[in-house]
Amino acid sequence: MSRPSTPLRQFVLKVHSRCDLACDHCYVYEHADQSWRTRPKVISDETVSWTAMRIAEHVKAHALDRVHVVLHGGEPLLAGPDRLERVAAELRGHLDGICALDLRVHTNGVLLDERFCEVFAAHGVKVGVSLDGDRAANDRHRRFADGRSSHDLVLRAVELLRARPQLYAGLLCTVDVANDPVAVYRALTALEPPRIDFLLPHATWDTPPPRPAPTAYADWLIEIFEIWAADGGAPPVRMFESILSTSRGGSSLTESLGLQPSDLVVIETDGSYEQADSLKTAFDGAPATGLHVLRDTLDEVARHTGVLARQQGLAGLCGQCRACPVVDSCGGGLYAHRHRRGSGFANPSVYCADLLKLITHIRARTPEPTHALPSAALGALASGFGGGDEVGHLAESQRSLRRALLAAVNAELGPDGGEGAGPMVRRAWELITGLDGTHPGAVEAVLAHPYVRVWAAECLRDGRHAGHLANVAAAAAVRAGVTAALDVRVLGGAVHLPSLGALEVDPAGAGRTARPETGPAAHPAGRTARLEVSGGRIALDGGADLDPRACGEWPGWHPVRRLSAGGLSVALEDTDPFRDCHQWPAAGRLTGDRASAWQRAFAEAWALIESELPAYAPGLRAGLSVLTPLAPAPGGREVSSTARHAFGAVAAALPDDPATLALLVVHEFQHVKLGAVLDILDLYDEGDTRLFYAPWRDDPRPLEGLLQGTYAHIAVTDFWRVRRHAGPGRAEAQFARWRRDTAEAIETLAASGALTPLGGRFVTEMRRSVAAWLDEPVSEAAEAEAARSARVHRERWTAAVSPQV
Amino acid sequence: MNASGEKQADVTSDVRDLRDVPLSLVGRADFDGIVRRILPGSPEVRRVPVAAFNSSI
Repeated sequence: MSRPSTPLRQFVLKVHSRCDLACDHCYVYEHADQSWRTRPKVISDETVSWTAMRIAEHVKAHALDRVHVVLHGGEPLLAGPDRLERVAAELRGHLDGICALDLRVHTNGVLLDERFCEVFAAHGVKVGVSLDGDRAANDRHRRFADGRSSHDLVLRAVELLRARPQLYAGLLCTVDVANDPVAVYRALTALEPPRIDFLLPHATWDTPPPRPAPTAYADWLIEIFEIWAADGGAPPVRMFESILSTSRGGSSLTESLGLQPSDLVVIETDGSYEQADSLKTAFDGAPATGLHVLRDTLDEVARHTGVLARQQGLAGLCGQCRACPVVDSCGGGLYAHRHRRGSGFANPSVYCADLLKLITHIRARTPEPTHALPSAALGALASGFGGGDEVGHLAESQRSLRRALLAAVNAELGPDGGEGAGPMVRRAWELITGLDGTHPGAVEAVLAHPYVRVWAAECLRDGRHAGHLANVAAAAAVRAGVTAALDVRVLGGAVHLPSLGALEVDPAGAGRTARPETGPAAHPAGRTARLEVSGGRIALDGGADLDPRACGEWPGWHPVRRLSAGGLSVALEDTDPFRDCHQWPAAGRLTGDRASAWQRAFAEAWALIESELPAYAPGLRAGLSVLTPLAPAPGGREVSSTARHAFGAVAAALPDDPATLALLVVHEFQHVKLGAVLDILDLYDEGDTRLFYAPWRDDPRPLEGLLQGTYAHIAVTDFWRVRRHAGPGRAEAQFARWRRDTAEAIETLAASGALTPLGGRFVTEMRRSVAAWLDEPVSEAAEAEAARSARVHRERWTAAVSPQV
Repeated sequence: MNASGEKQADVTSDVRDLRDVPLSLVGRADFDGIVRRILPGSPEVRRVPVAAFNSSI
């Protein structure tokens, strides 16, 4: 027996087939299918047990990490709290431990009371409530059989849920275009729902919806969309979010939109499997499968022709839909809404005109802005400088790059999560996307850590270390102060929380290497540990908790220390496993004494920068966030580095002289700035593979290397230009040498023919800075020595490498 | 080459501004261009290691 192509993940369990309201727009009782008349009123314990067993069987067969079960009706609360407790317990008993169970109940709210809430709290059942808006809107349809309003009772139910926010799933509102859309939306948002679902009333081409204008439903929803967009897209509205997501190539959040295959099945009170509930509106018997939970597996349901028909994506749509420009978002609309006698479901939706207008409107209202640099800011940066505002522009564009990389990592990992880390990655993605909505500052603070981008880039290249996404999410949860528990990746015997530090899991194995467990011999799935986060504190595998942001000391905790000087604070990063991305090896965890030596050197270096190189200080304040210690180089050479993906980080071995540290920092930060410019703007033709002479290198350099080196040497030249006043002699010779070499390199760039017009402007500004320095007086001896060393280097280089160039 | 153009006083990039796009809604159409730009897959495109500052200064 072959496997179904799409496993089922959503299960609607009908626990009661009758309702205490008599809504005249209800598809269950008022539309074509009348099968409710023959169903038992209440689901039996035996049917519930079989259902739970069937779902568990399906979960194991397809290694599903998460399923969704909705307790539904009729009105599910008519089943009573005791029966619902048995239902929830039975489902959790079969499913907890083998997958994540998202358990919900959809109710009209009329019967909801504390007893129900206690049951739902005990069994982790979230509650969605149907409410059509303000009193007038709600009472248009949602009334008792004797005509009484249900509005007060529903509001009372919502208040119970607002007092228990962990139970409150959201509000479901069926659209009626006779209602005032603004009044409806304001009434719903006043109840602070975590999410709003607007549902188009079920209809077909044979029984079309009331339509006072050709696109009345689009017009009604557009009015709400405009308010929603002006309010910043909160609270989440599933329909709008789905259109935005699918317009960007993402997934829909509802089966009524998008091209994703349906993975939903209904289990009726008598144990019959049915297709989507909405099909009740098409014709009598439309949802039926002829299959039953006591006899048939869910694999057999998934192979049912009716179920398969809703899994065909674009190929399952009629020609008109396939040719439509918004088909990616619309997906033909809800399957049931396509039905017409004679042609069945091979039609556009009866809401086609509305969907086209709504989607087109939302797409047009949400243009795709791109980053830009003010021309003056680019000029300032090109001159070799750039203050807080200019570097701030670059830092802002980096935020977009990081968000793109993180989303790409999540998308590339797919359902498996890469490295077999599926549930771990999925949980992490849910956590971090949730925090992005509720605590965006906390998420940004972690993503801004330079080595998060380095990790994301490496993960996209080779798919390894996918599980580190959980560590990123955990760090954000700590900063947000929320409660969360998740499996995180262990590297080198420690759990690394980007921007915060590392917690040893295995004290014997941590900190001995700069980049543990990242070599090819590392276990592909990696080691994990359970991390609990609450109120900014963390605890590992049920152990004692600690505050990673406090100054206290805890055994095995290695916080990211900070260096501070003159109001500037940067991280001294010697814990992050992805920091070893520089040309020189990263140092391991520093001793307290070495960290103190860094603090002293940094304070002196920063004082020098502020006093002697003040033009660089504002840019550094705006962009320098991390100093990464490198291992000392052989022979005591001063080494430093930047990495293209580590915006904001400068790495260096601690030099003996703080003035040298100042030079290393301003030099390297030039690379940080130019790298960020190149991240968003094209300054040269990347297809030009020629190599060029760089006066400071013994090897020929590609154009980007020459550009980077030249840009950095503007700062080097400036450093010695300033320093020669404090100590002539060597400093003057250095100034004479670097201004000559930098000026020569600028002319090489300008004559390369590989610069874009923008790159040409950029290099012109570089030239302007250096040209002014060429006129500054230096001694004849220094000038002569600079000319001599340049000539010797060029001759030696030409002899050694000219055949390559 | 996706050279950037200048519009009024701004130099515009083709890098999408995703700062206000909820992370959950950042889709392939958003990130594909950025990933291609900063993680070039073409072997002809060489992103050079830079810096390697040494004690020659």
